[in-house]
Amino acid sequence: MIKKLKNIFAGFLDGLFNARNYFKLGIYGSPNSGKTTLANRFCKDLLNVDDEFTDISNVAHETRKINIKEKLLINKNGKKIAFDLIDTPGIATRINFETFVKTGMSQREAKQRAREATKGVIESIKWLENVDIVIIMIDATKNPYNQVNLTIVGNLEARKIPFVIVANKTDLKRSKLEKIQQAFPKYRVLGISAKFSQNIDKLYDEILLLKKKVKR
Amino acid sequence: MRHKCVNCGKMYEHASEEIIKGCTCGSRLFYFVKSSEKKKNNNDTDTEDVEYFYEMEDEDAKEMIVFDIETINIKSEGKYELDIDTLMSPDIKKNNGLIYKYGDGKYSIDLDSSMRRVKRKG
Repeated sequence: MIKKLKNIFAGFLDGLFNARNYFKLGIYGSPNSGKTTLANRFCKDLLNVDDEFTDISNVAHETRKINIKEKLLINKNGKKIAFDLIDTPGIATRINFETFVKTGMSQREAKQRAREATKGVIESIKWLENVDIVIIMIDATKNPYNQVNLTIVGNLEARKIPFVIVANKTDLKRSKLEKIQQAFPKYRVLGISAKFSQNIDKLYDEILLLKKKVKR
Repeated sequence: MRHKCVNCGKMYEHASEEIIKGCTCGSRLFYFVKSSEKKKNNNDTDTEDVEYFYEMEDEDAKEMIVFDIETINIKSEGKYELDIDTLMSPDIKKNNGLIYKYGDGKYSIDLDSSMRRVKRKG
């Protein structure tokens, strides 16, 4: 009897993680937009783990390698979806070690960080070939009209990868969600605070909707 | 004032029909090119257009980076410029993989990334 129940449960898990139900969710955006903070939030919510997925800091390009967390599960309103979460290094057009020296790093450390950050950008771009859905993180306290945001949106559209634009840091007074919405009027823009877990539930709803657009 | 397609780079004049309907490549996202100025090179004989993005507040990005064939310009140790538009493009005609520029006339080609593009096309 126990063996039967085990087999049924294993079959259920297999069904959940099979190709039709399973997808890869990538988080993309400029450095310091809150991608890793959101990834950590997902892990805490969906895996019930206290350990941080990866480190965060106020210094740009803290994440310089692809980080993957497998088999996260969203279970909402009777719907269940499973996915791998891919936290990517921030994408930038210019990387200058002097930016890191200003934060107190030695020249040697700063140059090494700049080199790793550049490699990280290339990795992020390569991983576009592997993701099924993308969250584009935009810092709602900054001007959204930059080359990185526009290029990511334009390329995802060209690749026909479903995405949602997430305006992060809406907990801050200087954030301007409406400015992000005005910058991308034809796209779904959701305001959240990854740090304080505000509106994350709506983001899960959005991911459930985007899953329907994934072509396999 | 002009508009540049984010996906294919095609330019359109202000109030073109394509700005409303979308570019011929299918993309509906455009850069707004605020103005163009002539910039003299060191020889003071030829000039080149310099285009500015509208509302670029990032002090490092007041001037658009102009790339030639390279996708990564290594200006000096620790200073890099990346042509993310080309690097991200799924268009094989536009994206030839990683081409590094080290200075005037010095290039390095990542054959692996370039050949993967060709293989995908086949």
